[in-house]
Amino acid sequence: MGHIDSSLQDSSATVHATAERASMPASIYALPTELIGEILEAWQALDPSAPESAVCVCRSWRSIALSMSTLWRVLTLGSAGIKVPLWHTRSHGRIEHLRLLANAIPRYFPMFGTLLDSAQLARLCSLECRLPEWLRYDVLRRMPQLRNLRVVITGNPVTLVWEVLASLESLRILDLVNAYPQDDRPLPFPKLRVVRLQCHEGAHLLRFLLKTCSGLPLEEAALSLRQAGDKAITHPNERDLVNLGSARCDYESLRHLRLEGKMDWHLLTSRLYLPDLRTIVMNNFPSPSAAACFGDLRPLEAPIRSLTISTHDHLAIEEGLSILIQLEGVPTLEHLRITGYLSDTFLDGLGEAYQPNLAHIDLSGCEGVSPAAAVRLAIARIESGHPLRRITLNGCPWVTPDLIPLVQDIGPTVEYSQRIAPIIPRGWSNWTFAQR
Amino acid sequence: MSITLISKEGAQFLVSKPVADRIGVVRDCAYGADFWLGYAVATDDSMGITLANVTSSILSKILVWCEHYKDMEPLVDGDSNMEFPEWDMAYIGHDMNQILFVLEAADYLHIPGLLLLACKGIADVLDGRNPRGICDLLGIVMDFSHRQEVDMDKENGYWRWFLHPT
Repeated sequence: MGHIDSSLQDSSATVHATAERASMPASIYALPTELIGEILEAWQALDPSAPESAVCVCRSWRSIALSMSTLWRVLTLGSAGIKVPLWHTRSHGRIEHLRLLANAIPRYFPMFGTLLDSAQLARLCSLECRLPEWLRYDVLRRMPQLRNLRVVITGNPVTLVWEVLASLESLRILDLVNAYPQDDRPLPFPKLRVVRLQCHEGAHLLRFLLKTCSGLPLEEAALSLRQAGDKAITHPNERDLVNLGSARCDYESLRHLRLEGKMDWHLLTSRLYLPDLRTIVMNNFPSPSAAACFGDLRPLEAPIRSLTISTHDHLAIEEGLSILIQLEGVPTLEHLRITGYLSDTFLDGLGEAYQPNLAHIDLSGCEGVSPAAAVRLAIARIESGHPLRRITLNGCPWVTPDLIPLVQDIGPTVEYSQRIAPIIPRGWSNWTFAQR
Repeated sequence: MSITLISKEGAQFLVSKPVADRIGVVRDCAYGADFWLGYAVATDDSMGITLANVTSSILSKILVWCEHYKDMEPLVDGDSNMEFPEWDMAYIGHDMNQILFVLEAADYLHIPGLLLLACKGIADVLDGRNPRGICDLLGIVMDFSHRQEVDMDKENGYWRWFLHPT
């Protein structure tokens, strides 16, 4: 009985304290410790170095941050300081993610090595390396559990020798920026599912998917041609084309494909067989290539549900999508996002297009369209028997205040805000330093 | 079936059961739990529930979220790395004072999905600010002890300290 009484007293005290807190103005001081911890975790998900700032805010935040070992599992090494022993202690010996930044001073590299010895590299899950000097077999072979590898090189590109990476048998995500494969030999990573390559040479991008990754059960691929001054290297020459061969390349598990940059992507898409492709993102596409790629969609016979096209080349969008409409497109398409410039005429055509499952059209940031065309689109989809459920008009300069209720009265929900969502769809395997 | 939720000021909000079910405290109330803890009080037999710690403005904002997600399975456990739909981010906004109220209310009302969203909203506002900027934003006083300041100096100058420990 005494126990129940004391429990009731405790509960009463809790309720009283909660009621007292509620009468205060909104204050960070009013939040319980666990909630501050949740905020710090969410902050760190945005910025891996957030805990370093959190410990300098106040006594309470410092105490909370230091008590959360999960916050200290991401170690960033640059020229600002060597913190390995400190992080080792705070993470209770469980540093899982390592970032080696390019601003580290070369003469301290030997000391880096000594300190990293104490960091138990065998437990590392992610390595982001901006220092090519550290891409050595004797370093990487000590990271057998590495699942995510990101190599970012600024300045002159580097060539990666696969033998150096051969020990990374658990690798699942490989993200290369300005780092080329050594040659066309297949990647020696049986568990690899996600690849990304950004570089200045179109031929490298084509070969990466057609040759280097062939045979792997990839689920997601992103190829990006970075801004190149010389047109000659953005388009494969005769020798490159011969090297590519004409054989079809099968990726039966590939679900998401992102292609970015002004080059002739038809050279790639026409050779791919992607029976399970769900999402295509085409960013900054040139005109003839987009049209050709849309022509590839049907031969792919993929159950594509989501298509995103982002380019300021309005011919690319309109020619490409016209082909999509003429071909009666991809019957599985549910979500279509277009960012760039569109004409009313094109939007009218889209209203009449046969896409039985198309439920969401996202015109975020689109220019050149009139409010009347958006209304006609909503009506035309109803008349065609395939009404839209949602239209997104975020950041559209032509949207007027009276347009939104007008379209909503017709049927579809309208999303409208000033913020435009990133082109990369949510749910893709983004590079994060996951805590759990 | 509808449930009347009564805010701190006494304002009444009539909500459908699917909307009310998004609120953990209300859901538990429907089965008779949590009364003993004083979290909620049934005003009469017609399922009127007083939420004494939530103001009308915050309750109405929270009900917008509940209405939006009434047809989805409630989130039991979340992850700080989870991504939120555009609608959520527009909903939570960047008004720190209001987000703090929503966070506090989501904790009190047991709504894990909204709680994570509020944490994400606060993190978005904090991101890119230095400690001094955070203190100014949130009205926090830097109340470090002398020993903590010494520790912090050592950490910030760790590189120098490591090279020249003397």
